[in-house]
Amino acid sequence: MPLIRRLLEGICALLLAGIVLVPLLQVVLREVFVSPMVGAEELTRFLLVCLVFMAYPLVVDNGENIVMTELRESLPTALRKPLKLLIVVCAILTSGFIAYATFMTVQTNLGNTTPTLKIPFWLFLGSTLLGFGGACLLHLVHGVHPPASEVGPNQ
Amino acid sequence: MGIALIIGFLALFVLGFPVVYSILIPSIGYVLIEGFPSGLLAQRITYALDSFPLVAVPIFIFVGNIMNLAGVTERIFRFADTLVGRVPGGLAQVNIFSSLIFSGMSGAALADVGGLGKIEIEAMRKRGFSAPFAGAITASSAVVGPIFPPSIPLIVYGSVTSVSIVQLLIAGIVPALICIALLMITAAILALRHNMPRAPRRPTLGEITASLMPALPALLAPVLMIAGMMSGLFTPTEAAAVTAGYVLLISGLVYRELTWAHLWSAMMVTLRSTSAILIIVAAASLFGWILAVEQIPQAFAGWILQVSKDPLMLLLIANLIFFVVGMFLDSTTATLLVVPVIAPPMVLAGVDPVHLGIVAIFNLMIGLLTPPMGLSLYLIASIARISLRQLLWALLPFYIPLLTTLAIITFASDLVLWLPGMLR
Amino acid sequence: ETLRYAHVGAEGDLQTRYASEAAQAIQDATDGNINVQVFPASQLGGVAEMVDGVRMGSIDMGHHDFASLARIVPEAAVFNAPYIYRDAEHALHATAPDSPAVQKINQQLIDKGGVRIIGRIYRGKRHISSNFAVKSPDDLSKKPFRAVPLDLWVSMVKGFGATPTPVAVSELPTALMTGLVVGQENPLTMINANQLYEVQSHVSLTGHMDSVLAVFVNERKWQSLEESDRQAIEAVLDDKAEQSLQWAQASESELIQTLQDKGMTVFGEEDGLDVAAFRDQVRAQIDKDFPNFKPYIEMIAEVE
Ligand code: NA
Ligand code: NA
Repeated sequence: MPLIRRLLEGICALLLAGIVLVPLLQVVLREVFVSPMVGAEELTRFLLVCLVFMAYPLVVDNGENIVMTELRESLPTALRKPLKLLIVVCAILTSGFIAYATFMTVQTNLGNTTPTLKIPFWLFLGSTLLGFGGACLLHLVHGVHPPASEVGPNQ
Repeated sequence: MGIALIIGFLALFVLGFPVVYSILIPSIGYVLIEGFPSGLLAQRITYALDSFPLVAVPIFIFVGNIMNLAGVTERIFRFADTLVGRVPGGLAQVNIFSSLIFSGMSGAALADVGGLGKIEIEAMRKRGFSAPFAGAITASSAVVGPIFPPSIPLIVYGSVTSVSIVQLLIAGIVPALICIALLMITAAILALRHNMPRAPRRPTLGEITASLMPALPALLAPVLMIAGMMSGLFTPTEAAAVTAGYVLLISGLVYRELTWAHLWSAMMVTLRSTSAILIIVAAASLFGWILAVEQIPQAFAGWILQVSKDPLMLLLIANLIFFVVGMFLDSTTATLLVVPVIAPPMVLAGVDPVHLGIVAIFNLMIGLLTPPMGLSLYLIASIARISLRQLLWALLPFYIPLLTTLAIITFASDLVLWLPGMLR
Repeated sequence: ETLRYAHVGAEGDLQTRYASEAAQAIQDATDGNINVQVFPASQLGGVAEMVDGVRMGSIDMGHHDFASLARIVPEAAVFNAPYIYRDAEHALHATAPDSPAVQKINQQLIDKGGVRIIGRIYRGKRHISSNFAVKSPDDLSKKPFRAVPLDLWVSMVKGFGATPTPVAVSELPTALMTGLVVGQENPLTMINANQLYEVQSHVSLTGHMDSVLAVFVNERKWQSLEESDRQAIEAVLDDKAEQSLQWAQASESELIQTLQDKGMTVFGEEDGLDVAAFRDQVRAQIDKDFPNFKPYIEMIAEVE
């Protein structure tokens, strides 16, 4: 697990670096060398899509999903426990279903590419698949072994 | 069916489901029941983030994290504190006023919150302000970002409705200034009542100069950005990247406080915050698509014109609708879905389209501060590490200046249309 | 039967009028069998999303530049190629669903993407607008010029002699205002509807492209309709296509007047605009970059 996490963090860090550096490079190419890179925006948008989905398992793992817990936490334990279980089950099913739907779409969408850079769309969808697939697994892991303390913004 | 969807979302949200699943569960249900291809889910969620303006979000969050870790924030606030720290409200006033300056270079409220807001909240906390109050000040002052030019929402509004974008942008100036003034007054009153920290005496010229020098490189960052955008050197997203590059450079070479460990941890926090926020935008776009297919916005429009044909009455209805819509949708989705339906009948009935645009966008920006879909709230709660409830309580008094501004710009159309009128 | 019809056209654009009038006419022509629900102004997503939506069937039909279908069949972009039509009538005839070139593309679209072209919209000629006088390609030399982020446009802008700079349509007014790009090209109806006259001073009537939009439908949905309804829809769309040509031609001179009233300076060939130079340079660049267009361009040239 720690190895996979490190790997994911490394990939996301590279994506983030790209998101900052590509527009920066574009400014220099356009303003200094008067030869803008066609497709720089496309590349940056691609990096953003990948970053958001690839980092999603990290969000889940850290318990940083945005949630309003005020009502739930004020419930009596007898109600709160089954509700939490329901939420975990729903989170597993939902992220799993999105991953499944994305997987099916990847298969029917193989030929599609972005207009200028010809980035294949299955890469975009692949990041969605990976993000929700990973989230599904982590929800499952957290359901079986709840983390000691949730550190999310609202807990 | 559309109504069931909205109710389903609200129920799950209130029960404490993560926001992203509160949106996705009813949406998946709809797609399965109505027999839409399941590919719609993947497509809509993925494509929603394929947007260049959104790229500015992680960059501004990153800039904020770097500036904090490298000690830049401290220097800015030492300077600002020296300068206006004696005014009742001290750093709260600096927070509000810096949002006005920031709004001159940022077109999106979230960029204000993610970049400047992070700096402001940290600094105010270090100065002894409570985190919820700091968050509330930051949230309410960020509303001004997309009202004062440049403004991504106003540009989207203009392109959707064929209303003059230049006029819209110029029309935003006066309402932004009114809003800032009212917020500053509110902050001063609250500060005096709660005896919030401020500087014990007025600064000397020597002190101002002494605090200016360390802060100067950081103060130049926004200047670089404004000048660059005004002269057409770069787009807002590129401006964000240039700022990031500049901040990395000064914190590494001038301040010499940036370490590799800082950089790595700033990146980790940035990418998780980005993902937590934008995954909701992705899910919301699926939800918005379904609402559009269900013709919910259109049904609203038909209903409006049955109710009244008086322009002022229509504007009040527009306020109500955009306020409610802003609670549920992010401003871009709301602008794209609701404005094209609501604006034409209203304009036909005599509402000025520029005026309507300002009213609509101001509402949608307030919508960023109202649950359930208050993206600004979530971002601030996560930055300030406070609960939504704490933030909402602290924010309560600030709805007064915001709604007062809204009332002024709704009723005093001359005030809004005065500047653009000079160009007509 | 309800058909969800999505497009990205703004209020006031010819294509928006086309879609809403066609929807009404289809309902009338099919005795209410077919109810077309129009979703204008990108309500159901942007161009790429709309095309993919029609492919997978979440959207039943839509319309956009033929080049938007290049994500399925690259050669579909040929109908957007600059300076390939003799005049507007020729453009309308060459893009009819029964013209040989369209039929050949259509078969590939159906096989590869499950999408069928069933009509077209004539939206006027595309012209150059700029914030200084442009009379020949030399005036644009090495200047940043907005290119629709598609290969064909990039190639065409190179042909103009300018530096192709991609800008999304939503960012266009700002990019023009700040000078990120010094000019762009679009039909006059778009320049007027999107108020580009506020950020641009000149229009050069280069007429480099006849803007014809393809109306396309999800093939499975199409085959599920009654034969008689399909024929009625095609007849309506053909009728509306002819009308769109009339709207475009009638509005062109009107639009020139409107834009002049808004303070723009409009250059035609009689004012010294070197259209021939634009045509030669652009065609040479396109021929070089798109050798695969050649057979289609020949088929198009043979259409009456
Ligand atoms: Na602020
Ligand atoms: Na909201």
